[in-house]
Amino acid sequence: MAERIIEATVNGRPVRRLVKAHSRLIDFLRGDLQLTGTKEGCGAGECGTCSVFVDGKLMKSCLLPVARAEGADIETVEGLNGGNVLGERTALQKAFHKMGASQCGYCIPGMVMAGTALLREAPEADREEIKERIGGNICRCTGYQKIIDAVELARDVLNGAVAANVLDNDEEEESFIGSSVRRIDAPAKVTGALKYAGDMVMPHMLHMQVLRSPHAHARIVGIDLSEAEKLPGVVGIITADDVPGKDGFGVFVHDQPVMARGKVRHVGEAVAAVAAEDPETAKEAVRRIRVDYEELPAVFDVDAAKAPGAPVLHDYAPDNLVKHIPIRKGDVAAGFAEADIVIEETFRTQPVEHAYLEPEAGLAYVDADGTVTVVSPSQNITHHRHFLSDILALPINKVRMIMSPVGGGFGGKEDMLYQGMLAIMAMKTGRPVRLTFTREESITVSAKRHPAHVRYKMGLTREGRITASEIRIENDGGAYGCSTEGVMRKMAILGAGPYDIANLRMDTYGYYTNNTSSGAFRTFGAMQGEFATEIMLDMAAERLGLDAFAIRRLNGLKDGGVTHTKQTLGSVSLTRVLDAAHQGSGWENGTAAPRGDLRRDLGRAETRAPCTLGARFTERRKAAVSGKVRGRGMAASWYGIARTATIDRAGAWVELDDGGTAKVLTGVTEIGEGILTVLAQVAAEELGIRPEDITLGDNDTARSPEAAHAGATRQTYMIANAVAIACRDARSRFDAEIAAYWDVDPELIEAANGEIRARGTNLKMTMGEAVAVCKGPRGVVPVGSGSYTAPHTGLDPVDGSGKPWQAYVYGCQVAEVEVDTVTGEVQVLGIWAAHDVGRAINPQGVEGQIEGGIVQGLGQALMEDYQQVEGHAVTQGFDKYILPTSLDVPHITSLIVEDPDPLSPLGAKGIGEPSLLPTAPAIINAIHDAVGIRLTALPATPVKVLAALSEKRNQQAASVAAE
Amino acid sequence: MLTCDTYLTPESLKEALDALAGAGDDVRLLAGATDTFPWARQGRAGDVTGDRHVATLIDISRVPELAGYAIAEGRVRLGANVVFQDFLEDQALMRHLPNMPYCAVWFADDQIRRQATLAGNLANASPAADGTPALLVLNGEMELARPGGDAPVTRTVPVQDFITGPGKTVLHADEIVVAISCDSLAGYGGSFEKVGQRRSLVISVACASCCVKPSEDGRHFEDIRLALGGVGPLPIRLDDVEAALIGQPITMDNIREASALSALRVASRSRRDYREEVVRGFTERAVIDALADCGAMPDTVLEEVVHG
Repeated sequence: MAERIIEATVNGRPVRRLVKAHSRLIDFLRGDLQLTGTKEGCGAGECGTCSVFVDGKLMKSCLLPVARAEGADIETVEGLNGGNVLGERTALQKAFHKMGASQCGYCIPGMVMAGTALLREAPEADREEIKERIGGNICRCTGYQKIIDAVELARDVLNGAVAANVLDNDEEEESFIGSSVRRIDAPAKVTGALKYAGDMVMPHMLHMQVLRSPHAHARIVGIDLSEAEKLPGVVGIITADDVPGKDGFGVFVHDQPVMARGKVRHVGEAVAAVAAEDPETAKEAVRRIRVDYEELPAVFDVDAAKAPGAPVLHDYAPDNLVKHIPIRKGDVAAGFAEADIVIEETFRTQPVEHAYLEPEAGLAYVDADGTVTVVSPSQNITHHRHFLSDILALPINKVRMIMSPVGGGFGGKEDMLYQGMLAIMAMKTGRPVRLTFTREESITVSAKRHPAHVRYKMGLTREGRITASEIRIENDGGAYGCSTEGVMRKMAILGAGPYDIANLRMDTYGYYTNNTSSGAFRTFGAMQGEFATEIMLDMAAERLGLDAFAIRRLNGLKDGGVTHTKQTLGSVSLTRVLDAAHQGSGWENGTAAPRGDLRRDLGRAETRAPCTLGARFTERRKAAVSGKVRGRGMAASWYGIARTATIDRAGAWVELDDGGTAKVLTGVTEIGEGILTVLAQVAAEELGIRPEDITLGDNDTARSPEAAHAGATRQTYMIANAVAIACRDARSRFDAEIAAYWDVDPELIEAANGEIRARGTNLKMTMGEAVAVCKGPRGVVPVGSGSYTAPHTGLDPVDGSGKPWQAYVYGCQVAEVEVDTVTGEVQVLGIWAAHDVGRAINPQGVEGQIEGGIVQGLGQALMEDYQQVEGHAVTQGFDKYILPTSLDVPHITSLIVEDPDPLSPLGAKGIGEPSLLPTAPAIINAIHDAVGIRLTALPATPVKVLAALSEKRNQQAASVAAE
Repeated sequence: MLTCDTYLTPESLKEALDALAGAGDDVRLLAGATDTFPWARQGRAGDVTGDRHVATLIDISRVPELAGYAIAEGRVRLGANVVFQDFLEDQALMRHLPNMPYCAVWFADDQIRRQATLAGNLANASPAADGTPALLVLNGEMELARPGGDAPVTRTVPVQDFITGPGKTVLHADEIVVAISCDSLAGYGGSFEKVGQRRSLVISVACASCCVKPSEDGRHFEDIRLALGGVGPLPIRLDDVEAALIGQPITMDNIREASALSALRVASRSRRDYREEVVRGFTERAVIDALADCGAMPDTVLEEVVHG
């Protein structure tokens, strides 16, 4: 293999290296120079996580041959401030920190580089030009709004329009709870210092590659490893035969082997894995493995899967059914008999890829005490440890899961996938092993949002009251069970929407097929059902001449209302949320028939201008606007907080530490949403110190108590409460000692901002002094522990009744769109998003979750679509799997509603998932308002929109001709 | 992953041509290289790493003869290594090739545009290539060189003849695109329309480009050139629409009537085809935006466009 010497200047220093001639600049930077602030999100120039300056010009280092570095001046994110968390950061890096522009952080080094490039080249760029110039960098978490805000702030500081000290100073609020405390992990993200799993190296580390199935359904007749084993540099090869324990895992049903056992059930399923001294050798060895397959008949959709005599994927499920969840309430037949109108429609939602920018990666090793340790971006270290203990046949305390920083999850890193292979390889070779997926691997083998086929029948009175709903949702669960059962359950409980429906029949079904598995994805099934419900309500409102808000107010659950599972609720914030969205968006009341440009509530200040490219070189010329029509739509939503229909719990340990600081330990899993900052705020408030005094020990099953997974919008609710309880426990012990020292009643002790005092006296000291007193004279280490429980109950298997959650949240969004009737393109110009979060512990973080959820919802509404042909992914890269860019996103107005939860010590509920729920139906309803077409199958691509417009024109022409 | 046995970086056109001639069949030229690395990844699962091995890679980015551009006698000669970003940043190019800034701003993103060459975009011959309709409008010609004794031998091929089908061109195995020459249309208004599924990093479902020159009184079409891309295996120059408009008054009726002809050009495709639907209105837009670009949109047209 050809080699060449590269001499270049990198971050101001001369470097000289012998490299493989075929390498790319990114390989040189990340591999040879260990400059891992440059990330590889896609390897195909489609995401921008690898942006670096080459001779002053920003380029994508995954598209550049390393030869282009010869003699060049390269600047990476580490060049901006030395990649040093403690170093002085640039104005833009500070602005990202202040504005809350980073979430998972994986796109952030590239995004900082894109922002830096634009501020160097176009220091006066306006907002439109900023969006255009960062258009090559994808962010999956933030929805771009706070990133663009940060660039604007840095621009203004650099231009002298805003004082520079704004970047360093924040206004202090009275309490840390409810205050937009800056994210504690942002400095490491904006500097590129944070190491994700794929950035980590260990001495003597091996590189792993996986052989994957080319068939959707086939029996494995034989595997011949002999040629691979002969290759120098190969250290270990594993197949299903190497699994030491019980091979089978899954959240609900343990149907998934670590590697294909006897047969493969989907394209891309792992069949064997090789560990070698370098990735190239591992790849070559994978190529030399010979697998003999006997192809089996396969099923690629639900209809085929449930047909009599269909090929069976799993012996335990001869009908290919993963799970059916029924909900029964009232008498549906009687309800339809009462109805004045009955509406029937079918809906289809598509499989959606999580598209976190960090592809799956992991590092496994065996600790000195024999503990098998897996470091990976896992959303559920608790569960994965349980699985691995069985798979590896090890006592549970000899398995250790450490969550590496998660570069985006959204549910996609909740279902376990590759961690078993890593652990087995580390055990077999005795050496550290690292595996990093390519983007294509990630898309092809990771679980998707369930594609759903919804058959819906709704009866209503003339006044608009729902008398009955009958809903049947069939879902393609793919090859393995993953989270399907839970998704079916949540879909069944929530799918009919936050409405008081006396008579309901709801059935959700998940089926096995030979497609890519479906699994956990933000909203966990609620989206598909609620989407259909919100379109149905709009159709009903149109038929009955009602306003879209009015029909939802009429049917919406109220305080003390009864849910579809016959749970009696306490406070229901839906009406408040509807009011907030109605007022916030300035909604003009009217029937849900297409009003389009006749509306008088269009084009408010909270919308953006439609994107016409070329902001940088042309004054806004009078571009053609004929054929572009605007409209508005809305949708409401609800969601349950924490694990569904089962008891949920989380724990935490706290120690008030020297100097008036504190350690907080909990197995929380930060996936970019900002939970660590929330916990620091909560602990600081409870302990009477400051967030920066908190040291968080997290995400390690061997070093912190169980707090379970990042999912179900549960972390603030469950874990922040556990931390609060642990802090109160530590404080009660601590306060008692200080009270004894001062000889006052412990009830008088209060602490805030690093100072402790006895109320009504002049006794006070710093918390640092107080800890010294507690430990010294009193001889007590002030520690505490806390566990928080949410006592949910399971559903009745026949009628689905039960109390799946104790806390519910409600949402409502209004979307304003522009539909181009010439091209079929839809641009979303504004979204007003009202969401009840219980109590916003960090409002900036809440906004970040709302903005990010909306843009994911927009992606599903308009462009995203994971497509397979006979089980083969055809959208396996970001060139074909289309994600929203900075130029596709609306202006988002967050309207935070707070209806505190009485059962939660903090009052907070959650926002992570529910922000996505109303977006797609609001957009689809807005398209109807604009141009009168009713799309029922997502996504609303230009092709579909134009076809529907054309059909509508033909129908109109036909009806005119008929007259 | 792309691997190779030999990676060559010729320093002159002759060296590059000799390298190509001597490399055998398993060879690939790298100019911008923005398509090559993604191409080397396009495997499906089972071969998800999608590796490609090419015996010889010839990196022509440092060949001086391919750099820069020259403007003379009403033509612009663009070296093959001119990148898309140049049409957004070089004032002379923006003036002489008025549709190119609009084409470039729709192409990929700022970073890829700094690397991706216009010549490479054409040589790849994707039906969705943005550069092709823009160059048809400019009467572009490809200048191809092959080895020949002391000095390379060149031939010139018009853009419409250069591309023969998806991924296919008349380029011989021993030839390199050295330049693209095209008309200088300084004083024209230019436009580029594109529709895809988003507005950055977007691949064309359909695109159109126009350059227009109004008469001195601003009332008539003195010259107009129009082309479509993405609507079929080959790009289409809309000479019938052009002929229908040249010399005619600039009115919305005339633009609409002439643009209707464009739909016939894709009529061979199935009736319900999206592209057929989109082309007519798209052609209208291309004309109107090009008129707007040179400030020649009469008020009557403007009125109808804004409120119509």
